[in-house]
Amino acid sequence: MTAPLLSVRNLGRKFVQKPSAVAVAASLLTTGKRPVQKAVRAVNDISFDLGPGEALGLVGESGCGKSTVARLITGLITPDQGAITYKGETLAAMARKDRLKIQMVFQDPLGSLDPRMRLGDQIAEGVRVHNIVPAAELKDYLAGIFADCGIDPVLAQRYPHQVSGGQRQRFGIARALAMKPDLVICDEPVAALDVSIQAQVINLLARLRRERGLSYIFISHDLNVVRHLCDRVAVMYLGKLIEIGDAAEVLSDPRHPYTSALGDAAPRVTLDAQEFRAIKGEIPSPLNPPKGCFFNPRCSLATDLCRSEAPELRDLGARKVACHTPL
Amino acid sequence: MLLEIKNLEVVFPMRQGDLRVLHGIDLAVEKGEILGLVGESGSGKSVLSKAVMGLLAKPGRASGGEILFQGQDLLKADAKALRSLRGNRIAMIFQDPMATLNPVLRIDAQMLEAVQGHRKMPSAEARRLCIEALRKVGIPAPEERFLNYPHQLSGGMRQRIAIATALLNDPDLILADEATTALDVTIQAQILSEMKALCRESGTALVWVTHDLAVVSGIADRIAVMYAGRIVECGPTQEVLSRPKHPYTQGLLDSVPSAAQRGQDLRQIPGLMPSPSALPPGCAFNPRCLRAKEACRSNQPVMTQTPTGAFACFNPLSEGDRA
Amino acid sequence: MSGNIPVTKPPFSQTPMGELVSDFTANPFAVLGFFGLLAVIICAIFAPYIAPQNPYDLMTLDFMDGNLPPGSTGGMGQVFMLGTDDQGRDVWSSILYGLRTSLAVGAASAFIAFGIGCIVGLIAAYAGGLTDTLIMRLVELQLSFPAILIAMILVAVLGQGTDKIILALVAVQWAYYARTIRGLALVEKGREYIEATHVLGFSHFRIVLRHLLPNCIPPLIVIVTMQVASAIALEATLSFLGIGLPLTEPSLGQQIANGYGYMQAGRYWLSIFPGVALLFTIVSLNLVGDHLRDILNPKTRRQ
Repeated sequence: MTAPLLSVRNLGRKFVQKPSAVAVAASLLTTGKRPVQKAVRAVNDISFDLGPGEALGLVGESGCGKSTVARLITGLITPDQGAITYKGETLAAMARKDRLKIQMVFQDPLGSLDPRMRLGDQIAEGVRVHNIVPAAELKDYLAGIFADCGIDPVLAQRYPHQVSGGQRQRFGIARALAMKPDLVICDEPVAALDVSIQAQVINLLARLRRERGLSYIFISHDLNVVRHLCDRVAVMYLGKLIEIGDAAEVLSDPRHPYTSALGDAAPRVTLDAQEFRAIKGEIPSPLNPPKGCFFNPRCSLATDLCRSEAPELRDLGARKVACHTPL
Repeated sequence: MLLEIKNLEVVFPMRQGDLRVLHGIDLAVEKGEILGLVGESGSGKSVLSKAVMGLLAKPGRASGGEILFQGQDLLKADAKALRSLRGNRIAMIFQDPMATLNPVLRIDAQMLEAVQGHRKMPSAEARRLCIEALRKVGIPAPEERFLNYPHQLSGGMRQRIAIATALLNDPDLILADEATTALDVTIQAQILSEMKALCRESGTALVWVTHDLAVVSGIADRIAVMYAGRIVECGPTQEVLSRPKHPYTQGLLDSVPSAAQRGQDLRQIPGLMPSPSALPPGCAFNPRCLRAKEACRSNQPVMTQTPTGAFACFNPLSEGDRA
Repeated sequence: MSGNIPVTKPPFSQTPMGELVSDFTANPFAVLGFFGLLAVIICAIFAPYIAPQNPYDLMTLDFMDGNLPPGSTGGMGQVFMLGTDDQGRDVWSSILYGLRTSLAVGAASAFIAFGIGCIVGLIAAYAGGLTDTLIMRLVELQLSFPAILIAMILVAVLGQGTDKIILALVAVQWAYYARTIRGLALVEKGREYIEATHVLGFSHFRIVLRHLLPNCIPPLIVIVTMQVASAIALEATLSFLGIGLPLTEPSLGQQIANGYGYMQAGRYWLSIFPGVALLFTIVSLNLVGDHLRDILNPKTRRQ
């Protein structure tokens, strides 16, 4: 195997919920002690590698920490545990110029574009600021990017709210692409789009990857989309990685009960009178996760071991699974 | 027939003139039936469900047609008659449960009000009814949840409360507008299966409005597909999903990635849904349609009845096209 | 199903500001306020050309024309539409000159305070942490004193003069701007497009000036119009109390104060007409500000 493009080791990030001044005062007055700070382990000891040109899907339900992983890799937030290395260099020690090779496409194209700047200017801004191409070539370069992303250049003169959702997301992608990235983090890039527009954007992302040899970390709750676009998939639950392996294998033959439950719950067009095989319960509060395996209260296979000891991620054939009783 | 919509037209008056967003909608829902109303944003599906509830955002108004609910035309009904129907005979569930839940009131206050606003009933009995409804929608420890404020509950729980509130008065019809779109898939699966069971059990008709064909494929008896303010195809779920007549329905089905197509391009529908202010002449779908003929560009197709359903297309897909 | 009424597409080249203008003109009251304000501004700027006499050039005053009621004809055959004071000053001319001073002082102080407030508020919001806490405590301290009190103390300490009055008004107003823009900037800062600018590796300077500030400005326009009105009112109050502008630059407030003593003597025009002018200015400003707020507020904004 070639050297990984991105390597994530024991990555962790905690969010501390600071008690309000009133709560502190009340606690000091009544008990004489400061209140206990509640901490959420949004990302908990996550490790994976990403090869050049590879697409890794990151799936899980809301609150599982997948978006936090995206923000850690793009450097929007800093980890308090573990390290991310990009082409062998620690991300935290890298110059900003080199970090530009990691770009991001956001979920909400309307929210992630500046509402008061013309779309074309927003795409050009990064290129201009960082001298991605000589100033004389800027116009042609942008025209090329627009053509690649299927954007009508006329729209570049408009503001974000004046174009459709699908067009906006194309601009979001163009903005990332214009920085000549190696790795693009896609955070639910099609979740906010209509079904027929989703297909257009999925095809666009697939084609850009083919043509430019991009690597993707593709965050989504939609298993169909992840299977379609990704080589490998990593499943997260309450901040932990619970299963990682080849996308087609993991999704068609899941070994972790949660992966299996996610697959069953995903709506799909079927003609047989479909029974929704729903798993019971909801995701427990991350402020107060259950003992042992985090999934045990919802798992039909849970044993006493699952209720007392958290399973480690271990090799199971070609993939890794964190489960005491894999399927 | 429980609900019968005939030739409904809805317009939004604008400075430049009336903007027509629904064009001659015909739709019927039988007692106890589950209808999936599918369309993308801008198709008019939400406007349609709001029109039925009499909740069209001003200045929008129905400019023609009728909405018959148990034989009574809702468009001609006065405000008082509508109020006594809403929340009682017809209930609505929104995408955002906070649209129905008041953030500063406890759940018990809101649910009791929903019961006692329509029926005279002793509080103890109303209370029992509410807790029973909460239990039915799968809320654990309903007696405790009953005393919570909305913000103390998760999104899934809130939506369940909204559903329980909708069920309280044993309505004849429930309109659910993207009711599970904002929820996680595991919670969505739970709610869909519970809704289906509850409606079957109580004989309540359900109109499930969504952009996602996959969601309705598991719960609906019949599906109606909307595009640009018109119903373009309608029929039994099996029929519409396995033998769609309208190219748009086929396009929607093809847009969802499946395991078989991995690594290939999806068969996408090119272009965008036109805005109601700039509809193309002829069939509204013609600029995006690969099967469009001359007639499609000039004439508006009317609904063609089939033995089981109806479609509006000059060049419908036949058995051979799907092979 | 026929009779599709053609509707023109909205012009897409419109800037957000252009849309604002077309929304604004849709409201008759706003347009009324706007033209009222425009008239006031034109009167103020061109006062020397519009006014029949220069009320502060003693050479043009005729003692014989003193104390004339509105509509009287003076010794030179000129008509005093709004009457004259005891020195023969034309009240209409005084109002025009007074408007000039009042508007200039109000606008200057509002814009300087706006500038200071913007810088301070943006720094507080963007830096966060201790910087934010310190700045905001200072702002709260400032806001907890009544404006008139601060202005009076400052004028008492600094002495009279146009610049000192402006300084006092700025001191009173900056904190209000700072608090408002901090609130706005905090909301915008949490938006994804600001996150996106971090991913694109922009400098803090660029993020704040090119992205954060432009998105905070529109709601602030409303505040500025309202604050100009309140600055004018505050200046009038100070002048009325006799601690405002020097006598050589009489504002509307001062004219009201001067005429106040003659009310009992039946010379109502000396106070009433400057008062009406002041009222007209402030109401116009508020009409414009009010409707700007309505169209800028996404909650009340129609689609």
